[in-house]
Amino acid sequence: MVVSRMMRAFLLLLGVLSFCFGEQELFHNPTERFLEEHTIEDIKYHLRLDGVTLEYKTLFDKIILSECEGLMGYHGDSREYRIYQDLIKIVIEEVVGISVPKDFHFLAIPALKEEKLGSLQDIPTFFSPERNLGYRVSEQLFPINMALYGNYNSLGFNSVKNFTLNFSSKGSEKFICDLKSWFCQLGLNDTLVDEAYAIGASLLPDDRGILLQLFDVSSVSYEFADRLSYPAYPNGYPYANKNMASYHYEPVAVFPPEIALIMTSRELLSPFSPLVIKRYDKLQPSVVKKYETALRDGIRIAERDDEKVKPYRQKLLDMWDRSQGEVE
Amino acid sequence: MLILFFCFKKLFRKISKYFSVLLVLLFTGNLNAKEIFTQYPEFPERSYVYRFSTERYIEIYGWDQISSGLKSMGLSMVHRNLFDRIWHREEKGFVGYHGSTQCFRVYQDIIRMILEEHLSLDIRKDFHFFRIPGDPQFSLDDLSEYGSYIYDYSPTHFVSLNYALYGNFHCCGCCSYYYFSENDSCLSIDFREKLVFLFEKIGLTQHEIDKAFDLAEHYFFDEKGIILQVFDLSHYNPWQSYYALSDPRCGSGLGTTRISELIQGIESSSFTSEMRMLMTNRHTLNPYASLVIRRYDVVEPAKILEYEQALRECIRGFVPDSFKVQNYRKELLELWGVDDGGF
Repeated sequence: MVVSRMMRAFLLLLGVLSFCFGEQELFHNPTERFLEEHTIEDIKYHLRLDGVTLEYKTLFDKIILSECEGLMGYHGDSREYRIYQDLIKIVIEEVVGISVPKDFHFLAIPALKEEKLGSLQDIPTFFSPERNLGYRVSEQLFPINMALYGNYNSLGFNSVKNFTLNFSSKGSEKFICDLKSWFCQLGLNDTLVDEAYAIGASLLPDDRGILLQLFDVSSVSYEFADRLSYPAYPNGYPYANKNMASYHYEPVAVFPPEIALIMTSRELLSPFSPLVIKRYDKLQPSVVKKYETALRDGIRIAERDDEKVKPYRQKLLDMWDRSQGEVE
Repeated sequence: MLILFFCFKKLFRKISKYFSVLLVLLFTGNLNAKEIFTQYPEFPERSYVYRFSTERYIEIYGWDQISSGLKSMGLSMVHRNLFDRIWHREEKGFVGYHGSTQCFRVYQDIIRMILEEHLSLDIRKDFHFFRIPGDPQFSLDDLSEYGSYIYDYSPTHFVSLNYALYGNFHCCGCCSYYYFSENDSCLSIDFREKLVFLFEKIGLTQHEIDKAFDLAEHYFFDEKGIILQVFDLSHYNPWQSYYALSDPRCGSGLGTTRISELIQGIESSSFTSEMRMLMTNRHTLNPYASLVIRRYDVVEPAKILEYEQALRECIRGFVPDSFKVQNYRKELLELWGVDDGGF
């Protein structure tokens, strides 16, 4: 009886201590923490070295304020990448017939190519102490910065630079090539891709790109992100053997050069995943609407081969574990 | 853990609910930090304080002396802003600078575009070829196989680099800034002739070389040269040491002293010698290895874009021998240690 009481008291004490002093449970806004270690003057100076001005700082400040628990990080890219994302979404909706949430944007085309990476445990196969086979899986890795200004003073992925300079590290030719290959698989005329890019070029300004803010809205914090991401060097090698959540909950501001997300069609490229993406472009809503309507109209009336679309649709539904009725 | 939990539950039925609470706390809150890779070797601890090589160099001579030295060679300091921008970009892994001509740029771009357009190889944007990869002249692996990089030196096999941006400011023959300013190089090189190996390798002729070179060259009349800033990012493999690629392939200019010993110092330095980097197919001419090369110039970006599009279009129009192309591609991938099965 005495033992039981003592145990109960001990466990209660442990519980209370964990609750009171469990610092890791507190989410720390990454960019805020980053700015405690790096002055905005220093950031401005270094970005200038790469020809980047902070002309969009007002937007950045607004974005930083919206950081909250669940934030994974940032990805800056070009206008051409935006068109790529929009075309994927429109084709999935209009041709494949699967509706996509507004706050989801495809990071790549789902089920286009064979995927070599299925989970984090595949990473050691490609990035080992002896041999770097990263080029074989680089297409499947999606870089993000944990803090908005990450890598402002070093080599590596830099979201602010890409957004401000309308720059893509992959190059627009790659996006167009993949889209054309996908269109052919679906029996769509691949000249539609060129037409879509012409619409984008005529309606969207080219003096800036897009900035994606990614969130994991899993019911258990970062459960989804931790399964599909790792801290990485710019060449894809793991920077540390620890999960994303630990960076968000630790009160230190030492971030990895970048976080690599593993793009699997089953999870990261699924519109039914707990991934929510806010996209910033500093565009007038009327401009976006005009552009999106033009793009959607072009795809809606396009001829497609239902015999090719049907198995692709089924493949996606199976992968995403959805029935016909759930996605319309 | 579950077994432990059930044993505990059986033994201490009355207090088991508190234990459950504790377990939940442990697994949802307090243990956020966790390892993500199973069976992954530990990373060794690697750390050192980095100081800009150029800053260490300027500390020794002082800006006035450097400036007057460059002026005495007839060089204008009008591009100092650009140069400050460049050396402030030095970081861990930085190796050195190589100044050269716009003709060398065209030579580099032709190699890249041939490999991209006809061999369907992905070449990183932050990599540029110093020589044609796959040439048997560059089959050595490191300096130990070469002999003496000083007494047996051949400019074909080495690229000279300055440790600091204004390095050797008093000697035009060894100064990257001089070559940039004058759009000049140490030796007069016929780059068209240098490209013969590459073009013959895929069944193209002198006619195509001339066509590409004629088109490209006229964009760069009256321009300054180029500056290449070389990094060795071997340490992006967390098990490798800093400068693991460049140490065995660079002669420091100071006997057997490794370049990393000089670069990783923090004290002021005159970097009196120049570095010589051995060209090897496996390492320094390998876009899949850890060299990163940034190229700077003062040419209008719009002009560069126009030039690159025109040159790429021209090269795309060539019709090489597909059998030779496949062979060359295979050879390169083997030399680079790239498993083609991954593409």
